[in-house]
Amino acid sequence: MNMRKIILIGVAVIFVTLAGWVTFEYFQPFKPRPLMVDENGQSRIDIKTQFSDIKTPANIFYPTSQGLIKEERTVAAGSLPVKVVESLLQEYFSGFKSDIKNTVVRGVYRDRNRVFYIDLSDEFRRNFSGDAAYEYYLLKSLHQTVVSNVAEVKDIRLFVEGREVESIGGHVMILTSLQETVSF
Amino acid sequence: MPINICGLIFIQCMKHIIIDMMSLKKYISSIGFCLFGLLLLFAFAAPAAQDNGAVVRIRAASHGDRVRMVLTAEGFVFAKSTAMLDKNRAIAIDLRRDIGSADNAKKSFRVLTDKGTVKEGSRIDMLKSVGLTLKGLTLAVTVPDIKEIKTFRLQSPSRMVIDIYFASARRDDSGQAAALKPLATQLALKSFVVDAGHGGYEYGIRGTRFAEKDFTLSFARELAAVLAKSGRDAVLVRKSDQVIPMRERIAISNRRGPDIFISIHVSSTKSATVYVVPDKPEEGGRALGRHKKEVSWRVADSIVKNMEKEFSINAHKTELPLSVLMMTKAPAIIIELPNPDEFSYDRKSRERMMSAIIRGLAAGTRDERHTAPVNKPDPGAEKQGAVKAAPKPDAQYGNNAARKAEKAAEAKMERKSGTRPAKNPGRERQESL
Repeated sequence: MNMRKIILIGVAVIFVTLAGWVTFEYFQPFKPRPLMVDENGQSRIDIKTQFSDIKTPANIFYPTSQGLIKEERTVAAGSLPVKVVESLLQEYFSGFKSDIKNTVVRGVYRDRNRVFYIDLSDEFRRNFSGDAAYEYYLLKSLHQTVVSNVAEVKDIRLFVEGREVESIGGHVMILTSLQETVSF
Repeated sequence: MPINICGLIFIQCMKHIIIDMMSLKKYISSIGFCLFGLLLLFAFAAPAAQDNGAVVRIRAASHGDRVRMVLTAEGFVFAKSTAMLDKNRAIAIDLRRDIGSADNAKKSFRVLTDKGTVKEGSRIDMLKSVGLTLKGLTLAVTVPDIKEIKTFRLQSPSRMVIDIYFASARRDDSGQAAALKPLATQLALKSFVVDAGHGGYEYGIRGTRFAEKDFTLSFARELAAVLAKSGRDAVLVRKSDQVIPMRERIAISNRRGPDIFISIHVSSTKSATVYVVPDKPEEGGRALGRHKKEVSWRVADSIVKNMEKEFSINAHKTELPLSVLMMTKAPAIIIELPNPDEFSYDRKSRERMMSAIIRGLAAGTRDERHTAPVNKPDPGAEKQGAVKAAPKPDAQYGNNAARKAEKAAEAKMERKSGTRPAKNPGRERQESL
């Protein structure tokens, strides 16, 4: 193989590499599907906006010793219900004044019966301090926050550090469905 | 000619790539320096952190007949430390064998309590009559009228627990029981399951001067003692500081089939709350469900009324579908007593609180003598942990007169033959748990 052919192959390789780099740098091959469209069918959100930047209003419920209070917040939207539930819960926990706000949402999963399994960090149980009514309304507020914002959710099961726990504060059993527990 | 142009382009590209590489090298080297710096920081910070030495945190609480002292170790582990009574009847806690080996730890050894750091040679009062003095690596605990101590070690975190018992009973529970006996004899109900909320690692509400699990245990014990003293069958679900799952508590109640299940808890405020099952129509209107609800509601109303009459506090009945209320077959109430941080529980007010509850129980169940259906012990719940929430059909709950008569005759026979101590049947049931 002579020198000329080697140089030609080298140039061709470099050209292809450069072409690929320019394509990926300046053109977006996959455009995100608009999640929120106006009445004309146009996306309300700039196409370059990241998923996590899209905010949507949501009702977040918080517990008191007498019942629930509702707050309107904005949460990160998403195309998957589990992601929406996750961002809802992150917003929910961030609104607590007590140490429960340090609770981390370890994961949200769902099954074919639309039961959502929410796995929380141990802070949820460890940092709980309250009486029976507060524990009941804490669980009810979590349930209400998720169910009222995500129509896909039929029921909720709670897990702490990936395991079933009997109770958060020793007053209300959460081994069964949350819907059943807080349906009064 | 084209080859020359291509060659030129190639050279230019290579030049740019090399320049990029050079700048990349700069980044890599600066990241390397940062990592090296961090490594150095950790290398110096780790021994510095270890220099904090050993710390012993001490807390003490009174539990009726004893005082429990818990020493929690930080920076070392309780392995060979000892606690014993010396010739002056003071407790000498010797930590030398665990801390003495590490010089650094010895230099910076600290003893922390709720009342502050214990200084060398000076006395700090842990409780009213419990003093603590630090002498080197030995702690001297002085308690008057000491009978004996029991020591055990726990892990995660490493703890040494010392139970101090007194020569004469500190709190005369039997005296209190005797004082409330005439009141308790008015009770129409014969059998009780008294549940002290929380326990073990489950602390419940942690106040500045109390832990809910300890408070509920002492109160439940006193209540059970009063009931047992008046000849009632009182079963205590939790007798010590242990974890009992809710399923187990429910199973115990369903197994015993009491006339009422009483769970003792502490409120987060100064007010008292009595929780009952909610007024929700049940399918088919089962007899036991109705009876359970009616008795629970009447008792709750009556206790609330008596508490408000006895003390100037807010007391209210609250309907909530809490697990122990919903899943026990017997009528059930949860009494949330006022928070001890905001309500004084001296001997007198404890007795008044107890009498308010007993009077409430008596008034709320005045008509029970003739109307109450039997809460039969559930044979299916014999297996520990088995919880059956669904009440049985009406047919299974007949008149209990025959059963009661049979039971009374049995007890009479046993008393005559001396096979069972007649004085305190309730106590025996407690101990059998």
